[in-house]
Amino acid sequence: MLETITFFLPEICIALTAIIILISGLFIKNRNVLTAISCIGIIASAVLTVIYQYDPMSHGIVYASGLLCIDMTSFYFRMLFAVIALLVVMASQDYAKNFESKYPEYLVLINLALLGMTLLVSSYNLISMFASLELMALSFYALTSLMNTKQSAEAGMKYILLGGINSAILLFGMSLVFGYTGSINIDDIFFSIMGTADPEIGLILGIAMIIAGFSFKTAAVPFHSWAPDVYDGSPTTITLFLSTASKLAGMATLARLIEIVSYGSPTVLAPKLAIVIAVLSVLSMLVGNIGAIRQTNIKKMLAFSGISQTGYMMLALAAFCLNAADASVSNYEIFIGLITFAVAFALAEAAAFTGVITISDHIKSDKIENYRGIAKQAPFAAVVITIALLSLMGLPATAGFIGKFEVFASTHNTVLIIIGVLNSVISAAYYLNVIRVMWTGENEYKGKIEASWLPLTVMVVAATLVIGIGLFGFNYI
Amino acid sequence: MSILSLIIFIPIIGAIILALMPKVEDKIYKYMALFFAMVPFALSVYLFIVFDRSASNTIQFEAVHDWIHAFGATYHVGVDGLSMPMVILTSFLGMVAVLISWKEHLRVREFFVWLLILEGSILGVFCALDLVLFFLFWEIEVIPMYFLISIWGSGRKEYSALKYVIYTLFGSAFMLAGIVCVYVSTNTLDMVSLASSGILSAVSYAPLLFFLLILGFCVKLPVVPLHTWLPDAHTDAPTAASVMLAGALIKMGGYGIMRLCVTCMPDMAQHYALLFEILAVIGIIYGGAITLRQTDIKRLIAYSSVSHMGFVLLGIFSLSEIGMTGATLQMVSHGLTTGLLFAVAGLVMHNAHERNIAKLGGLGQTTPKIATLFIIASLGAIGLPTTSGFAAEFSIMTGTYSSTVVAGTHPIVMIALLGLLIGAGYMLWTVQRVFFGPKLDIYNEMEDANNLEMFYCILFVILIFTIGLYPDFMTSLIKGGVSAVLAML
Repeated sequence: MLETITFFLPEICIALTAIIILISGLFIKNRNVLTAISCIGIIASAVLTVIYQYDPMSHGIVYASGLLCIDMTSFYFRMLFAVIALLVVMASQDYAKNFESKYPEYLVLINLALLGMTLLVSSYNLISMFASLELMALSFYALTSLMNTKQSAEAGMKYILLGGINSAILLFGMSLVFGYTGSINIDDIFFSIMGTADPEIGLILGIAMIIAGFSFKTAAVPFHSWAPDVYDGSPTTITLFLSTASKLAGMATLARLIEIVSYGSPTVLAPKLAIVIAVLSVLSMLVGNIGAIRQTNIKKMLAFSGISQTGYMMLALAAFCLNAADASVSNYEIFIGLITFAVAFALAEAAAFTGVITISDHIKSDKIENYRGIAKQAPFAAVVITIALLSLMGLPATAGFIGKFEVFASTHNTVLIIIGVLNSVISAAYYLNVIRVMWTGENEYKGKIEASWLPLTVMVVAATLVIGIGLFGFNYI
Repeated sequence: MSILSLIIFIPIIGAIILALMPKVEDKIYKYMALFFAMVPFALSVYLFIVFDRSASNTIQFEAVHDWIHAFGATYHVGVDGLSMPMVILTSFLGMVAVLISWKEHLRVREFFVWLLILEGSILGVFCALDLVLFFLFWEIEVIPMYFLISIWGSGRKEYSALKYVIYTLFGSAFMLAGIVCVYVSTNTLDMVSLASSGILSAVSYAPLLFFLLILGFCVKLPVVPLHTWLPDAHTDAPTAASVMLAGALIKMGGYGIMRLCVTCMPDMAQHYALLFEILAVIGIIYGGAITLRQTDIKRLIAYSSVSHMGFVLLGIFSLSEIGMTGATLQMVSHGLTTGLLFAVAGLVMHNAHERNIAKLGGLGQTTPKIATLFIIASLGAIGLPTTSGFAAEFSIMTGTYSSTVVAGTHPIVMIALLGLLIGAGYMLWTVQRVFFGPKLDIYNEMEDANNLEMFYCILFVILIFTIGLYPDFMTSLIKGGVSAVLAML
């Protein structure tokens, strides 16, 4: 029993942090103190994760009556979410003046969302999956509508309506799977799928609905329509959190489910699933990239680019299905590709959004045309955004290239590889456009644009890591 | 750290130092940039001298380090007879490019930062022996070139810079797809072992792979009809960038075809040789014909590159020792002659403030030094005996005509010979219109080349004649490198 409790220490730590901020927020009005508490809590939870959640053998430990597990997926994504949450809290330092009075609640909600994500990637049971997904989603519904603006309220409303429908579909899918396999435990589902040579249509439908449900969180086409408006209306820090952590939480869960299904039934379900995932992936890349070219608002542009990045990540999921029957391809290799891409993506987004927050805060606009020549006023932020966009584009010597290379290679499919790289070229059109605008011409804003030290740290750390991983590889996993 | 790594990274480290150092006078940036460009040149001259010419078919000065574990990419650099001439050419042009930009006064620090990064990345392409490392340098080069054209260029500079980037990225996307496919199907990224094992020819989709890999190089070389970025980029780039672009950068295409496509997939190269020979001769004639119609002096030189690079492609796909040696020599020779042509055209533009050929005239009387240099360069470009161009083009023609590996090259060589005639036509006609004829009063006050400008132009002239009179000084290296390629056939 005591051993099981230690597994929960990271979660307890996050929950405690949330409660402490909630209470202390009543009488502490100093933003720095609250930020510090939150940062310490998140760092402590990450340390506890390393101590109690790391399983070097990666056999997978199932605990809490089969609700949760420890394996490679859960460990690396937990660490990644902790890092992202930390970066988001740090990046909020300047931006928080837009919702000064709600700052304690803002931090509490971020911590609760983080709690939901960590539980989600550890879930080994449909019920715990659903419950932690809802914890994450509910926190985000509140976070997106935190600002006192029309757009923010609209974003929150849109997200909660579509999210609600999505939850219903997801739950329906889960109930179908439960009905046809007789269990909500992932292991049991695995074994019951393994036996069937001719799966029932209801089971396939159930699996499809679950995939649709999590694809909604990853903003994959055709479940993406909420993303641009919600990203645009939300506070920019939350856009960062939503577009990285929430998306990756959905992606990690999808990876877990798809891996189970395709290895449970490599000859029957995997080929069917491969087509579905590959189509979702290619559609996401195309719609994301082509949509992004038309955008004039940088947040919306990043939203669409995020959709295309989802498409690249989905290639790794397709790789699970495509190579399920091929013993020479280990799912370890595919997983490494996915996590490397996820790390590269999260770091680049963190760098880009923090740069955007810094600049937009001064020029009071998110329009790309208003960024003209901003490199003169904000040289540092411009360099960071440039590095981030080049990484998202997948230029060598940035982390994005390493991630893309591994993900493309893991598919072992020439057609998907070619589609992937061609999409990278399309994406160059809008990434380069922003870079071109920033570095040429003159801006109307003449003052110096500087960030305070916390957002500055975020930018330095994220950009350095992007270049560092790009130059030296991601050799330590 | 191996000397080769120093050659690649000194310009890049120099660029980082320049970018981060406190603000000082412009003059100091120039001297620092010159230093960081001279050291790699000195080192590559040293390597050129100690290079073991009897073993130039093997990789020398090799360095291998662990790099990216996830897909087994290594930091692997080295040179053989094929890449050594390119390395010394690039480091020479890199140094001269700094001297050419001595009068630059707009955002001087940034300019030299980008110029040095450009030099480092091109050198990296010629030294890299790992596909991912190769691709890394190949792509990095795009960024400095983009900024050099779009900030310091002239004319429609932003348009030309973007066009250059889009073409390059488009080509290299296919190359990346090819590299990923190579990795997936062979599990190795090492160019040396890929070449020696011949494993790529056994891949089930070998033809597709061959075209994926070659497309990026064809854009860079450029092969007609993928050449349309070239005149815009060359014309609108600042002089130093034009010299690097025409002198070193487009050679990456020819080098890549030999190093990767022909060496690793020789049977595919042989199978599609005739197709590329035809494309080459189209390039020679079409490029030459269009050059005749140009009115802008820089654009004229740019289009002549299309024609000259056609000869390179012709030589490579003759798949014979003489032809490929000629192609490599042509790349070096073109780097020198076109480098000099762009440098002198830059002087004309700078001193006369005019680049329209029709509005220039009689410059031979006001600026004799510029005229002499330009005439020497154009004779080199025509391929007059005693210049480097002659040795190169002669070997290409004989090599292609006598090729035993590729059948049906005789009519192609016959047509290609016409290209020489067209070349003589446009170069001499240009010389006549710009430097001879009646003296125009508006150019009475025009300055001639100063001492510094004479100095670097004469360096070019010396090299052009050295290679022309004693081609063995280069070909003794190249032959070995080429024989390694042909051993695969």
